[in-house]
Amino acid sequence: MEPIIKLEKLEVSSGKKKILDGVNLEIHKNSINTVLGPSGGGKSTLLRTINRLTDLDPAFRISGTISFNGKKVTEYSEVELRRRIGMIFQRPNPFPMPIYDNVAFGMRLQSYVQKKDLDVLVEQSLTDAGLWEEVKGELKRDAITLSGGQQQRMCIARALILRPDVIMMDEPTSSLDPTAKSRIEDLMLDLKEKYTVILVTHDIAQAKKVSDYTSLIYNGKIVASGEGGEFLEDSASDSLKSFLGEVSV
Amino acid sequence: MTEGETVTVKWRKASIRSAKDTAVRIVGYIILFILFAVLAAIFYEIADGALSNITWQILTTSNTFEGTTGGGIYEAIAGTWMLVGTGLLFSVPPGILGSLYVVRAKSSKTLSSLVRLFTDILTSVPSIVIGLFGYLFMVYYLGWGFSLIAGGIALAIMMLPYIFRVAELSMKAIPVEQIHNAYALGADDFQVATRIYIPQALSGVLSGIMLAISIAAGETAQLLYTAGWNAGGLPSGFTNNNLGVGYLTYIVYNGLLQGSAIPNATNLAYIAAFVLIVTILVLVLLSKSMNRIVKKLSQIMRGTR
Repeated sequence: MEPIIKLEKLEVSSGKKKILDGVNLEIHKNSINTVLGPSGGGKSTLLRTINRLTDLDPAFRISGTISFNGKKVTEYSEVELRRRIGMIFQRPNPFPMPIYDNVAFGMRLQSYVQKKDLDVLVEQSLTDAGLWEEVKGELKRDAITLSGGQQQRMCIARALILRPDVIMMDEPTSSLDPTAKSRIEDLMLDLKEKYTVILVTHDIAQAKKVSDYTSLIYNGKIVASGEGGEFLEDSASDSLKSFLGEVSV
Repeated sequence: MTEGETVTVKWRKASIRSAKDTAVRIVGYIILFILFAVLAAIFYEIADGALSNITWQILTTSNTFEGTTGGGIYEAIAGTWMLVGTGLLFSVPPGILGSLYVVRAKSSKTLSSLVRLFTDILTSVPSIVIGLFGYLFMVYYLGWGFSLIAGGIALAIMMLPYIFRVAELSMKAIPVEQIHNAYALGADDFQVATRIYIPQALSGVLSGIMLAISIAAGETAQLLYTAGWNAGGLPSGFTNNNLGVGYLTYIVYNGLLQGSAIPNATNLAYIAAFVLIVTILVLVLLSKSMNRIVKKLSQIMRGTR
């Protein structure tokens, strides 16, 4: 099947530092595509290059090709690209406003939707993010008062309301406790039925649990790729083996 | 350190720490007391000179600095706020737009540094120099005469750096993740400015504006050169306002100079100073209790209400 996103010979540098070095990567539809690697390996930059958040900083230099649905990402407007490729950040970051307004934020930016339709969309998104039952009676509550795990699921609902094709998750569980982490991992498995998920993580156990396709990134290079997460131990380079060893311990 | 070697750690004594804490606290109280005493002394001196003579008539009649009474301070009160208002018109939009430009990651670093440098320089330019520039350029070269617009722009030059700096600091305090998140949700630059930066920095920006108003309302030097002085009615337009525009600090300045010739002039100076201080005090208190208004305004700007 044709990949939904394809990266070819992608090189990204900031100043004199090369962050990504000749990355080739295919993202498969309705799957969890994991990019696994140690901190500082270029994982977050990879995601930010796909939805062109790197364009916000003129220091980034980018070469190579990223295509989305067969078209270069630079051929899309930034607004359309980011609507269709949603992103969840490492730390949950609700805007200082009620839950309802947080979830509706992107939709209000991009459309002239009626209030009653917006109510339906907010409910659907919160349901898809597994949060509706917990917050349905208190949508006017300030989102900052939610727990860390709830905030992150609300951020997922905020991305889902725009009906994206792809959801990119940048270490979405790294600031959460084990229970909240496990809920988000289960949610990822549910989400892949409707969406394509790109997960960036340094957590090998998480990759093994949720991943359909895994790529190992080390010093800005993809050093191994394969299906699932079980192949990880045998395919890694020596230096990566030491990283995997550290994480597994 | 070799294996088996022992190190003796000498712990800091709790009593010394607590003595230091007490010393810091006492110094803090002394500074607070001095600040309060200075403020109270100023307020007492002005109020003492003003309250025994202040009347509704003085506040509502024109100033003459002639005869025995010297008239009132009506034009000075209204003129001060007209000048400050004109100053706001020319300082708030560039102050906020400038701060939005420098906090934006996409902006040119060189241009941002230049903007910061120029505002820093503006902060340190003496007001009399701004006045002289205003006189030569606006009053004389552009032919605006002593006028509301010349005085207002002279005040704006002084207000701009305060508004810019406070707005910049308030915008920088917004977590960068929130900004990135808004972009990731498809916001464009304008939407990020109007729905994230300005609503969240609004409270800080308003404090900066209040500070700038307080400072501008108390300025004299640049207004002498640009607004001139007028007690023959309020300005009817922006330029060539007859002799100029009235303002409170002129009454304070000239009232004391005329003190020996016009018996009531010193009283007028006290009353003008009192009106100025009370108005600024009210403004400061207002800005402290503006949280609810700011919250409402923020919601309206974000389009969430």
